[in-house]
Amino acid sequence: MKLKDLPDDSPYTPGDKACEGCMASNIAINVMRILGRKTIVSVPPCCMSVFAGIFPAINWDVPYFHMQFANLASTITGISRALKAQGKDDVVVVGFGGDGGTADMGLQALSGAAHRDENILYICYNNEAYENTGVQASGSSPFGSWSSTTPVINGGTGNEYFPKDIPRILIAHNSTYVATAATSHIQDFINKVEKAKNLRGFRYIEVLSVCPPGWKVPTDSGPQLVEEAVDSGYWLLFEYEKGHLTINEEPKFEGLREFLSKQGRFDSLTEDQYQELETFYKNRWKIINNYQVNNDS
Amino acid sequence: MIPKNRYHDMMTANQAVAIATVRAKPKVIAAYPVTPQTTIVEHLACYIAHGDLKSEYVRVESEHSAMSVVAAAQGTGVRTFTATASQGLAYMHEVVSACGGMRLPIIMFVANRTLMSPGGIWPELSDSMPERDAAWLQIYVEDNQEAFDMILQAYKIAEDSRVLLPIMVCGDGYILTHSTEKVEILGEKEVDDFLPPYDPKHVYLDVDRPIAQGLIVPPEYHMEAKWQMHQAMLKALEVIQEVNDDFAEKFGRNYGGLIEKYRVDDAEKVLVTIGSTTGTAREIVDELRDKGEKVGLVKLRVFRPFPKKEIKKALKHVQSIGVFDRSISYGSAGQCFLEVRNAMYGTDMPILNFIAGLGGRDVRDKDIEFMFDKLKETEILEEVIDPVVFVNTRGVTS
Repeated sequence: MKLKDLPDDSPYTPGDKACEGCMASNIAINVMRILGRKTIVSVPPCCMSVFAGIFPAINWDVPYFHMQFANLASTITGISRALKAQGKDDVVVVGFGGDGGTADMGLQALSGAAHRDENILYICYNNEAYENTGVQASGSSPFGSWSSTTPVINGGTGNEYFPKDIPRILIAHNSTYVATAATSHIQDFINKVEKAKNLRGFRYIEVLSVCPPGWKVPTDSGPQLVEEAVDSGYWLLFEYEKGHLTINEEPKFEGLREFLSKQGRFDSLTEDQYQELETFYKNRWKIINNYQVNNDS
Repeated sequence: MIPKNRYHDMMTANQAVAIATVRAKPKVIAAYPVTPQTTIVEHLACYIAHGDLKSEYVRVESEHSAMSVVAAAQGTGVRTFTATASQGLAYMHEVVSACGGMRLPIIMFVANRTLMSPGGIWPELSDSMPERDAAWLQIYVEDNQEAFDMILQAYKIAEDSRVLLPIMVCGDGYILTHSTEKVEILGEKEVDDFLPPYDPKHVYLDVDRPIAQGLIVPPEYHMEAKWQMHQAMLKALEVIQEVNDDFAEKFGRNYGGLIEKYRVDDAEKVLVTIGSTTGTAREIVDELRDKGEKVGLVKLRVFRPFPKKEIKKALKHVQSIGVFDRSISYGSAGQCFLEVRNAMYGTDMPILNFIAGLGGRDVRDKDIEFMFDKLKETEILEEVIDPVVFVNTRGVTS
């Protein structure tokens, strides 16, 4: 599907209560434009459950199931298995989870579902912190970033840990489909969601999701920031399918310092921390690139 | 292979529960091992492999996921089953607590086992009792036959449009789950007639009719939903009785519905029991009756909803009541005792609470005799200083 063919109509309806400039809202609209109405959605507690799922005004014009924080993957597993038992094999079961519910609390259920190759599509909108509860660092927050639980007062240096690599964990499960995406590369985004829609088995797509209040950036800066994240190697675009990894966009490794300097959450970053970050992202690229290099071995 | 017709066999409660589940034909089963429930999901795996049952059998990675899978599957409009015990139930508590409000008629068997600490794998009700406020019906069974029968009745009760709440059928670990006795297995056809296929009329996930389940509900709408859950619980009291009577008429086993009364009508001292201990107590009641003592027992079958009216009606004429609890709410008393005393509000008879069998300690004949002896010593309410009596406990009772 080409961008121009994307239907205007989305089963994720207008009028949600997301913050100005929220990219998660944008991701939901566009994913649902691709998936269409033969879809059942589940969202765990996260920003999206709050801005689009409070009774009586919800934004899902498809069946919607809200469960708990740690069990998105097992919840959509239950829906998927029940549909299978009913012989309904043309319905896509999709879960939208934040990075806290995916990388931290939900990791056990996610691992179980990937291991069993459940017929589910899991979209992680990664805004790199527990933004819904007011910006606390999560297992996928970047090193050196400010959050309300990694303060930079009195000698504090922000988040002391590097983010977990969930796509790589799921590749280690030999999952049916694992991909990363960015709204700046929208055709790549469409291709991946469409491919995932049509595959059967465990499918995971992680999308970088700019959170203006959490990242301390202007509300209109999201699209530009995502593009810079890809160019700088901060966010890699790749997909893994049937044991094959493909890098969809070679990073230029340019502009990491500028990308970080535009975000208030990195205001306290020291030069030493910056050097560590640069090394981390270069190494991550090497690791992912090695998968591609070794595809046919 | 399980015979299609009615038959008798020797089996544990776990096998009886597994065969009852086969007869009930759930479309999705979540399986995770935890002692002493494990053999239920083992049996079910084999029955599915043999072709006795066609069901999605999901070998989840935790009890939290087990309850998530059955909740979401039930919410998608199919009958479900899972089983757990002890730490497993505690681990799934978060999800257990979501099911009532979503009006999901899930059936789960709980093989009652102590919750640490101290740790242990032996029977106690400290796993299911904390779930009494989770908007699940709770049915406690005495023996393996009742375990089989109540799984079938539970589906019928839960799926009734007046109820639409989940049910945990609870049975003492080991005493039932690993002890073999004769069980009559009802035939497939007659069970189908009693329990037709699940046909949800209320909300379920369907792309042709989009609805939302489990939403965040703000204060201005919240209380009405909770009130409806409470009303459904109260309605369940009559549905349980109806299903009991229907089952009794069809299959000839009448459990009395909400409570079972045994030699109570002319009794002066009555022991209220729950679970497998009822069998021991019934024997002692007979022995004491032979000696001319006016004793009786009431077996609590349904703990949620609690049959307040039936308890008061059954016991208002007696002189004193003892309540057996295989669990305790520390700093207060046993949960059954608290409910019974609440039911007897307005009367001035002494009511004692016998805590026994914790962590799987045997509740022996002489422990039941001890309870009746204590009741004899306590004739008026003023004599009750502390109603909580630990039975057969070193340094406390001899």
